[in-house]
Amino acid sequence: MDFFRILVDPQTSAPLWLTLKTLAAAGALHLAFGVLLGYYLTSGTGFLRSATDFLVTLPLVFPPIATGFILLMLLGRSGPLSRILPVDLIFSFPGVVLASFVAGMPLMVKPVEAALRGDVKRLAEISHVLGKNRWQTFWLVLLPTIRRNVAAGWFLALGRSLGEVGITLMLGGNIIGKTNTLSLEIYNAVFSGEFERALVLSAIIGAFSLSIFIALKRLSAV
Amino acid sequence: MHSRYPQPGANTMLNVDIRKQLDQFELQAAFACRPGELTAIVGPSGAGKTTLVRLIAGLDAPDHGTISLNGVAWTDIDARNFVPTHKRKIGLVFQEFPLFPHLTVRQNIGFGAPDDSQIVPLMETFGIGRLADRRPDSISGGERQRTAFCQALARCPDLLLLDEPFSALDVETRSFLRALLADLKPKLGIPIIHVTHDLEEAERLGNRIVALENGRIAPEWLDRQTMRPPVFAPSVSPV
Repeated sequence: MDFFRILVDPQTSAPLWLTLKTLAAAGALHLAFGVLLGYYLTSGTGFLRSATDFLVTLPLVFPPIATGFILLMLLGRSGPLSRILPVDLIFSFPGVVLASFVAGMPLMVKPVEAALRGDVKRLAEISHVLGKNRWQTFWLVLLPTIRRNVAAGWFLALGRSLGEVGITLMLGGNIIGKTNTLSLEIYNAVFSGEFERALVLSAIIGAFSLSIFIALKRLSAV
Repeated sequence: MHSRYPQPGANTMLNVDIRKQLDQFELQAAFACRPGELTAIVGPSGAGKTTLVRLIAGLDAPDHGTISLNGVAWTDIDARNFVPTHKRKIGLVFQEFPLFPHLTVRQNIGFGAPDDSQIVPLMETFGIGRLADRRPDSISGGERQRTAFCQALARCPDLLLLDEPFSALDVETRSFLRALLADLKPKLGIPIIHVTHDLEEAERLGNRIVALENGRIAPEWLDRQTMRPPVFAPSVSPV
């Protein structure tokens, strides 16, 4: 098997590049929204908080293909949300990013929420006593204190985004050269009998996963 | 009802007159604390002492009543007035000496300080000058509590709240901080509320003692001359 010939083949390199772009975009969204949502879930109250908690947790307990289908119905050309969206999400790169974002979100939010429910609540009170408002306390105390939890959640979310298939299939459509991420391309390669290429693609994903595992181990060891 | 106390509304700095329903009982407290004086709040576990401190700090809200400092209402439930904690200029020291783990001792002390001028003198006074660049996880419990005291005082508070600050300390650190607090008390010139379950400590440090029993101020404990061993049963006769 010629590993490097398969690796530089556009059939392999294009999904790899697409996956890297997707991870970069979804990772940025996870950092931005995951931390804020985790904070909101610990401080918010009422129906809106419960609804947010439900929606964030849903991808953990609901089959990805079904989650993708619901999003397709909501965001598709005839869906109720399609008219208010500035970009066409379905069968496009933004759709793939959204799929990765949704799939990884619970793994980002839940560790942050758990960390914020722990001893850091007392630190937040001390910060208030020392004259800092909620926003200052969030940036100066909470975020630095839970930074390892944030990083761990972020790596877990990236790992989940990397392996995402079901939602991506529904929202992205597995269009060759456009929305076929690494995970989907493994399926495509196996389906067309290119087992060596499937092996190379799996090795690439394996290397990513190993990197994430090492990062998580380092975080827990520090 | 508590004639030996400065009463709420009198010419004193801190006035507390609140009610709050807790799980087991309703907390009712009405007392005042003058500048430069330490009011010790004693009582058994679960009597509502810490809740009272949290209400004064604005970390919780009472169901009814007012809390004011120097005539300015911090909490006035009827008037729907509630000054948030970060706008109350208070120093608060908890029992378990929590410090910000990502900051050095010096940064912890300066966190709420209006300027840096007090940081070094405070560290010297509390004997932790050599720890300035250490992180909280690398110092002892006693050193952490000294840092917590410096942190509270560096804010230049108008009111100092101490929630059992000595109860988890070794004997040496406890006596050092007690002596320091007794020395600082008149110099600070602010009201100090000191929650403790140690009656001897309350007697030694307190200008006034409020004994809480099932959320109520126990009348028989109001006068320092009547102090007795801590029997908190309702049957204790007033002297």
